[in-house]
Amino acid sequence: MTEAALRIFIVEDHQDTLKYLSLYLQQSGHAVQSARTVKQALETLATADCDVLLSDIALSDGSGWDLLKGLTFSRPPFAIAMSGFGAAADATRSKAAGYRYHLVKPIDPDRLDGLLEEARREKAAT
Amino acid sequence: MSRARASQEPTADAVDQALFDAVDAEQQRIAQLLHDTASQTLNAARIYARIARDAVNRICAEAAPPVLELEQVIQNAASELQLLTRWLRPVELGGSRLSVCLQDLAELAAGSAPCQLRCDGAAIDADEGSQAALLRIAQLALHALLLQRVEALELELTADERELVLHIQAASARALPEDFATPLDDRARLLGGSCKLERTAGSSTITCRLPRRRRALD
Repeated sequence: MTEAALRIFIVEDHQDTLKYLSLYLQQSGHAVQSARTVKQALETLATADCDVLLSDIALSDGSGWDLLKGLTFSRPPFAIAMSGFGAAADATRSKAAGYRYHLVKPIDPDRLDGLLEEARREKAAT
Repeated sequence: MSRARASQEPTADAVDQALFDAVDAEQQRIAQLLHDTASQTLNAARIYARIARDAVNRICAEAAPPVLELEQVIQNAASELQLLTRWLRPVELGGSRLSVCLQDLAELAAGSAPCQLRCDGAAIDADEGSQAALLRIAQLALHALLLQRVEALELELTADERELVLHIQAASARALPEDFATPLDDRARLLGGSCKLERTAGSSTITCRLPRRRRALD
């Protein structure tokens, strides 16, 4: 991995979205781990030591909001929420849960790249 | 009819409320279904189109423009579907201020027609039921107005001692149907409020009034 690369953990239950998002991020040079349910994520995330958490909000066995609240990190990741619904209330809940940003699907890869660059700069600064 | 049976018959208001609850639940179900199926698939296609564009660019930049155009078509389709699901899904306060949620709706509407909201943004001291009902009525009104292809919208939220008042002014060359506000009025009446339509040449105004405190009516 280069210095610019990030360790990204994706939580997404839609198979194609997870597949292509993982592929896009890997082709951008990042290391990607993933989970498809809250349960899987809770089992894996605490020890994943990821730089960025990219989580869908509506998951089959819970919400991305519950996921973040259910985790404690020695080094909290740069958390980005994804949702198909972009209401103000959803963004407010994401912020309250600890997500730095709330992206509304369809995800704009350029916007995502911009947020990952912010995460990279923060990581470099610490 | 026996007294016992008469006392078990639902009131007209209860029937109306049950109908509105059923409509909202069905719209929520359809919105969720669209989100979980076509919307998710289009989202995935959007990302893969970008991967394809980057791959084509690396091999032969001259061949990239059609892929870029395809990416844009997919983006447009995904955005259109996302917009539809947002209008279908009954909006909720979710802990946010009414003014914030109305601003959110105004921005959503602005994707289709110029839409401005005037309100001071301060937290409104009113029963959450009235705020939530006003928000839902605003969502239904705005979507119905956009389907009428109005040319511009202005919203104004005010409150006095007794009422929350939302004015929605729509500029349109074509007059709205006389009964346009009736479904909105039916919802408002359940909380002791009203939604009335005034039509003038070139514009229409829907005025929704809901009591700030239901206790004031008891």
